[in-house]
Amino acid sequence: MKKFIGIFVLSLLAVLFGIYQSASGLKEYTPMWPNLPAPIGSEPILITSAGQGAEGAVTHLMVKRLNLNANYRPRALATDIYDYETILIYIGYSKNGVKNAFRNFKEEKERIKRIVTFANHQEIPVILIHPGGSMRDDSRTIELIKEVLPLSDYFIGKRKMDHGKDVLEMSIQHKIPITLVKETRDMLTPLNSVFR
Amino acid sequence: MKGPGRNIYAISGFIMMVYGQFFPAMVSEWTSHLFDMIEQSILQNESGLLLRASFTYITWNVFAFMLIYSGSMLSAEAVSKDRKRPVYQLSFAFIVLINVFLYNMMYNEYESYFMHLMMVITYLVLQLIIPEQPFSLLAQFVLLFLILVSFSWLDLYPGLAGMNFGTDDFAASLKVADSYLSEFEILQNLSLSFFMVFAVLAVIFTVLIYLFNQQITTMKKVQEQERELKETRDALLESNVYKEIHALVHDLKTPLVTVEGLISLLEMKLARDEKAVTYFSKINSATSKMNEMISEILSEEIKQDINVDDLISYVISHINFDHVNIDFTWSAENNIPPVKVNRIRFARALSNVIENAMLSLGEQKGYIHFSATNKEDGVLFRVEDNGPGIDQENLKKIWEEGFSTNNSSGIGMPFVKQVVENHQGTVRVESVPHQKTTVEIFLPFKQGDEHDFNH
Ligand SMILES: Nc1ncnc2c1ncn2[C@@H]1O[C@H](COP(=O)(O)OP(=O)(O)OP(=O)(O)O)[C@@H](O)[C@H]1O
Ligand SMILES: [Mg+2]
Repeated sequence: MKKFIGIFVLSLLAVLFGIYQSASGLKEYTPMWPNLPAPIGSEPILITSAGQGAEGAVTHLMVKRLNLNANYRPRALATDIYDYETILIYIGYSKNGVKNAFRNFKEEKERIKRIVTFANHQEIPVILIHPGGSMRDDSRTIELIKEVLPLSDYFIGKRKMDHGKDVLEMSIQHKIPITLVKETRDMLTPLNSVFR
Repeated sequence: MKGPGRNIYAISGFIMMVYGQFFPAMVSEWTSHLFDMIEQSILQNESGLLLRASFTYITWNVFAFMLIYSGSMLSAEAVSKDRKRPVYQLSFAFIVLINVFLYNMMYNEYESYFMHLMMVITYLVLQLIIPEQPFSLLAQFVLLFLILVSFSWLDLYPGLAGMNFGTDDFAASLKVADSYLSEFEILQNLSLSFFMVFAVLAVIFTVLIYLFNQQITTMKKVQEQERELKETRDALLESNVYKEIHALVHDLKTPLVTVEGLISLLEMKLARDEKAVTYFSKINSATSKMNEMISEILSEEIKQDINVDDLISYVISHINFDHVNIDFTWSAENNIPPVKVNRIRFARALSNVIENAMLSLGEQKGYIHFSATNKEDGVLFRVEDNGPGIDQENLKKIWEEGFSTNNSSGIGMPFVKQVVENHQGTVRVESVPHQKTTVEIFLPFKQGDEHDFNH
């Protein structure tokens, strides 16, 4: 019997972990908007990344699917935005991605903040897209969202995610339109509404 | 557990953990290649590439955590050698979680503690079944490997993202990518099937190890029983040899008892003769001394110098040649120095050989020649007969206790061998059936390591 004590204790720990996690997050939030009522962006589009997740390229696929004229430049700098009419930012922090770009998190945050500030200054609309949802909702990703959300014009995210409440409240507070969808491919509709 | 062993476990465990911790940094090229693979699979909209990236990720992940887990296992082993004790189980879990924590800190990773805890529990439950045995360490490594592979695939299962599975960077990348590329078609099926396959493999492996060990234990038991059986058989045969000695003791004591009895009768009859009484007390002390001597002589180690002629006549005087048709002759060279032997046992051995020859001739006509020759470093006793002899195939068997063609006890020749070897001599048998059978006993004059009980 004694040999089960250790396993029992560990299982108890696992259950507590599980309860703690399910209590701490992952609620579904209903979308505020199904899509934008009127387009706000135009082509050409600069797609860049906030956090350098390898999967950011998915945004490029979406835009291509919508037959929009766009460039995927995850490491773009503020000075690169002159040629574009809309900035689409994929949000998802990846430590390997940031390292691959020879940056650290702070530098990455600075870069994206500068782009957004610059775009605001130039009155270029900034669209945030976060297809990661609960798959990419670590603290650094949330930090990036909080950094740029107040300065952006539209947020497209997933209904399922930790900290979803924070993001939702923040968007209400700053009067940023927000659309939350269920599946990644559902993001195509709100994304299309930005331009057409 | 011994100190040094404990240290070796702790040190090698620590080294492995350090290697595991620095693994992503050490293989940074591989890491960035993996990153490119994921990005390219998306940009080229290629599910095949994503699949390859998934396999690479699993390999990468298993490498890193195999080192960390094995290291943790060895370190926990240093705390407690018994993997079934709570001390070991909790130490192992603690060391693993500490490692995951350090890993997360060092790389800003989001390895899920919950997932690792589940992995630890799975491992601990399965290894309860694996019995302690010499190569169980290897079995533990294999088991760890299978569990790691299986859970690494679970990392990629999209349905568990909410449960905090697969929160590390690459797993997240792969899942988000697949959520768009195939709407989870690929990962959902792939990860679940590979998880199942490896989980089942882990269980099968554990059961196999368990069964294998059962078999080994039974085999060991059988071997043990066989050994015991052989021991008892040996002991039995040995006691047969000693029966020979007991017979001797008996043979010698019987006439002595008769003497003692008759003397006590005479004592009673001549009780009034004072001179006779003193004689009798002398005779009594002599017989009791003789009694003691018999017991002493029968002890193997007691040897005394004796003339070969005397020895031979002593042997012959104990053989009954009545009722046989045998032409018995004997000879001894004149110049043979005395030999040092246990007279009774050695004579008994020689007479055994002669008796064997007589037995083989039976009622037939034949000869037996018994000789002793001086070979400078020893004496060669030789018994030769022209009886039916011994078949080639039996020549070796005659030394086995219990082998007899005469329906007898079959301990004669083994006894001969034992006695001769006890005198550092050698014995050899040659036989050409119906022509000549010889038994040669060589007895060296100098016997090393002697126990001299002669006064
Ligand atoms: N001179 C001999 N000629 C033929 N066979 C012999 C001779 N000496 C030994 N043997 C064979 O060797 C066997 C073993 O001899 P051993 O003295 O050990 O046993 P035994 O004489 O049969 O029985 P035991 O001596 O115990 O009464 C004999 O049974 C016999 O077959
Ligand atoms: Mg015999």
